[in-house]
Amino acid sequence: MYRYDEFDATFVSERVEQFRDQVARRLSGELTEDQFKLHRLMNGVYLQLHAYMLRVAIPYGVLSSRQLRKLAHVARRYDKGFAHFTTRQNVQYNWPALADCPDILAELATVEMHAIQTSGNCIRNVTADQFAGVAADEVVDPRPYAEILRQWSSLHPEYSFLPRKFKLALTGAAHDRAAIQVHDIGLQVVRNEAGEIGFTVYVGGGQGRSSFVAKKIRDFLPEADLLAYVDAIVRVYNLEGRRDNKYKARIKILVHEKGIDAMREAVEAEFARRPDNLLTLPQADIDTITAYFAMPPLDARTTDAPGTAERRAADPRFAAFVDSNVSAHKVAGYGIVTISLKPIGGIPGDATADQMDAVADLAARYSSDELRVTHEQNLVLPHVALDDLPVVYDALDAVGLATPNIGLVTDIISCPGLDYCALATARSIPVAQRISEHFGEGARSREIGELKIKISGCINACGHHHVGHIGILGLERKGVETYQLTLGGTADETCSLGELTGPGFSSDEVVDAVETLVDTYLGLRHDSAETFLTAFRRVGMAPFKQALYEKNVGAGI
Amino acid sequence: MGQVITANRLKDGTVVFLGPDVGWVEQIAEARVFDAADSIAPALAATKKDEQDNLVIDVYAIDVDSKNGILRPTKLREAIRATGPTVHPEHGKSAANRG
Repeated sequence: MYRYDEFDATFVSERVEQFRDQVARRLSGELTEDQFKLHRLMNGVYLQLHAYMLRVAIPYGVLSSRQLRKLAHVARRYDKGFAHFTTRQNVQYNWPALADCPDILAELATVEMHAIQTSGNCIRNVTADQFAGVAADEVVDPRPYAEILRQWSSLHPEYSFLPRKFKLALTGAAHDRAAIQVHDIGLQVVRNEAGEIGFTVYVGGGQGRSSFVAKKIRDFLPEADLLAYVDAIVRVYNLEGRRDNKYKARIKILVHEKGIDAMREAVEAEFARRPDNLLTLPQADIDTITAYFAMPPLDARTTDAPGTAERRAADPRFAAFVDSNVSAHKVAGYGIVTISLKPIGGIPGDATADQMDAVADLAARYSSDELRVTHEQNLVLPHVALDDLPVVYDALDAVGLATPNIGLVTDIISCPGLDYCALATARSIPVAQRISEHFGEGARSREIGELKIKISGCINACGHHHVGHIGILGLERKGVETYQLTLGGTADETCSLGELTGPGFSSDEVVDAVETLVDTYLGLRHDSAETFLTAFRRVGMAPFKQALYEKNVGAGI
Repeated sequence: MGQVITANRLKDGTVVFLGPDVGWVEQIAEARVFDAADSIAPALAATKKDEQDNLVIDVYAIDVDSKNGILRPTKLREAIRATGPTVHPEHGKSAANRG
């Protein structure tokens, strides 16, 4: 993985000391809250309902075991012994004292981590496919390009005060695990017929108050033009994006109002106007960065993994774990293990300090010291020998992290909701917990098959409800929480936004409503190979709507 | 029933309520309740000094009522601020309220 050079290390350390001075001046009263707020947000510190919240960047979701141990240490020493992994592959602490934040950031800097640009109207943490560099179906590893974009966008003077926040995501596989089409810019790394690397570029996607699937702006952008072209897009947005209305300030609104053809024309004109070679990527630099992401030396391991096969035959839960939590690796004899942070009835994305330490130990011992964070709020051990699966599974089970439910109905994305978030209108975590408990870990959840439920506690959609196969949006009506349901959303390469079923449901009704949807699906699917999403696309909303509103009484929203 | 004044403490963000005497308290049960006879406006204006003195931020008034002698904000958001989070009974005000 990428290692800081001297410039990076100095840059992050200086930034910590600047923030330490800003916090001291705030606590002494030299800075007012209005003067300080911008600085604190630029360093990832929010004020939430109960306390401050510190959001730490995990660039493109890649972590070493040393870094995860440091995150555990921060949770233990400065917080309440746990942390929360988010839908932007970041980690959040829910209880830090403002006075401690400079010390926390100084500790994080020792392991090459920071909170820069995890808030504010700037280019946020760049996200990527959590299986980047290891997925068997990958064409090109997107991480070197994510790192190049990270370096370019860090404290970029022209883009530190954009009309609104700006999010980039990359994938290097045809199967999109990074939700690139619901980002401001989505980049798919591809190879053309000549075998040359380039990018299919999408722009103007996003969820929230106005939600849009991104439009394709370039079919094939040559590799060397990555920065020049992305720069042209962001410059057009910076100049033309609306600053008069916060709710219309994202690039998705500009693309929608301008139209993709006019947007393309403006971007291409800006791109063509560039002085020659100013941002053209030198091949030597690409090669240098790419070298950081080389596949670690993996010992030749047996592909038939007799120990694993034996355990599979004897232990149904282990077999279920292998089926749902282990994905195909590029190297024969290895697998990618996704660790579910969705224990039945648990809080999606939360991990205790002890669990983080245990996972860090496993990464050091069984996964070439490497970890990933997924936008679906899980962790990944990217290089596990198939032979080691039983021992890894047992170690995960010992700390409550062996839930075999990746991609299933209980692998729910949930934003923090009204339990923590100052913007939320309803709670989302308790709904996730009740759905999880309702379906549990047993045979029925496996019978249901792939089903992605995503819950947001407000219209801003941090819980990605628009792209849930079943999306749940928590709102407040007359002082009471109510939940709207959407169906048919997905963030993969067939990206679509969910369609509203109709009137919302009360907190008491919402789990039954989800059960009704699942039951309806099970009744109408061709066979177990037809997923919820495929079945919905075949039959449409009508049977689900009928089942929901004949059986349940809507809240009449 | 009435109103109380709430804020977050500057140094650690903890939710606080204006107490009956000088200063801020952490539990809503100990907050000063303003009703028609006890106008909230002068007290709210006086909290500006606490903001200037860097004790608290985000000061505002919330509506409360009393059920079985227990003071509760009328709005869910404020009830969760005063007694939550609902999902982590071992942390925050939830823990304090459990005694």
